[in-house]
Amino acid sequence: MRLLLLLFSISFTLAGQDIFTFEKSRRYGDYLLKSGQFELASKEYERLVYLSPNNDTLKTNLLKAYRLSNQTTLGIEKLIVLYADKTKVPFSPALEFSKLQMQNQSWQQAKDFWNKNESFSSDDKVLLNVTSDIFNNDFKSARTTFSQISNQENELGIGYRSILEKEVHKKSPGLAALMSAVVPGTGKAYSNNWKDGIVSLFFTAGMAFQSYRNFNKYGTNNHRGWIYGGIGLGFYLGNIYGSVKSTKDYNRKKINTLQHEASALFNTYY
Amino acid sequence: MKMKYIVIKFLFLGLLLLKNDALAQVSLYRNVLPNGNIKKEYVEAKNNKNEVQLVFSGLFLFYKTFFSSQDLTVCTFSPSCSEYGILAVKKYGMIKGGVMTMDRLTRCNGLSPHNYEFDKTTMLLKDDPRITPAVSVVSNIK
Repeated sequence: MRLLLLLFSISFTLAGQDIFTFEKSRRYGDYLLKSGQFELASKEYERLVYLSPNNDTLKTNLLKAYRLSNQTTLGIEKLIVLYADKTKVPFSPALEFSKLQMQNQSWQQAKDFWNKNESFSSDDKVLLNVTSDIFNNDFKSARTTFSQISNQENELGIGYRSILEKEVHKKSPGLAALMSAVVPGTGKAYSNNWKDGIVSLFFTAGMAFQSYRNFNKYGTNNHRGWIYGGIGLGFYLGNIYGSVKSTKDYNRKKINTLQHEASALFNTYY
Repeated sequence: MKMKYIVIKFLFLGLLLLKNDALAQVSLYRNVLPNGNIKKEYVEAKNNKNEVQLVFSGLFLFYKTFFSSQDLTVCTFSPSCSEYGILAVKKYGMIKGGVMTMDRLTRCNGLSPHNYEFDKTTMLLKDDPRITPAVSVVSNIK
């Protein structure tokens, strides 16, 4: 019995381990971050950054954990604690902080941050500016910023150029309205809604025909023609409005697709 | 003559029986069929701010009570076309709201469901005049 107890205690003293060492905590933090437990990871990395205040990788991972767990404001406030001088933040934590700012949709602060930062190259700054402009649906500004890029062969730059070129081919709501005013329904067909266009054409043409028939049969002093004509005019005006709306919808969907494309490119590059 | 009275009496009794039978039928299907006597409340027609809104709300209620109530739910959208109409008139005024409603009536054909969001609670397509669509900001960063 004594021997058993002795063996028991010896095995514990030999195989026992301190799980709160720095190395173990770091591995646990990495595991939490990789397995998607971001909120717990942020707490673990807070401890690790406290233990080793000069490790940039840990600081980057802390910011990443804050961003992925959607605690963007906490992460943004954390940077001032981690680095005294915002302009001298090293590249990887600075990039992580930029992503945090973009996720928080504070575009102007994000631009101010990376434009003043010394770790980003001029092309990086241009690309980040273009990314935030595309995400913020400001393609005009994106185009002027993009012209400042020095390396024309940049992978992300090539992708962004094609996105900015695609953005030009939007459909004009004014043209759609004009088309619908001339032939009802064609404006909707122009914005790829040809089924709605055909229905509009039938509605308007049917009412116009009824109105014409009733004016012919009963004359202009009878109410019938006027009622049909009034409803037909309503459909006609409604169709012009609908064409403009459907073209705007088309453009909006197109911009949204381009933004998703830009997001995918950005995620693969950085 | 006497025979006639007896026949009429029996016919009346038969009527009573018929009524009882109908009641029995109703009680049999009470939990199956929806109760038609429930008065629906239309919030869209409430809180009118001016005379135009009041007139259009009146028209809307007239349509809902005497026409729509006799019909099935045939509109493809949620809110339905009449509700869209009153909501649009209330938000954008008589002219723009009217034009929007006319446009909506032509769109209510169920041919382009891919253009709209699907409302799972009503199993209809979403199209609300109160919501102005905006370009959603994408900041999907991995």
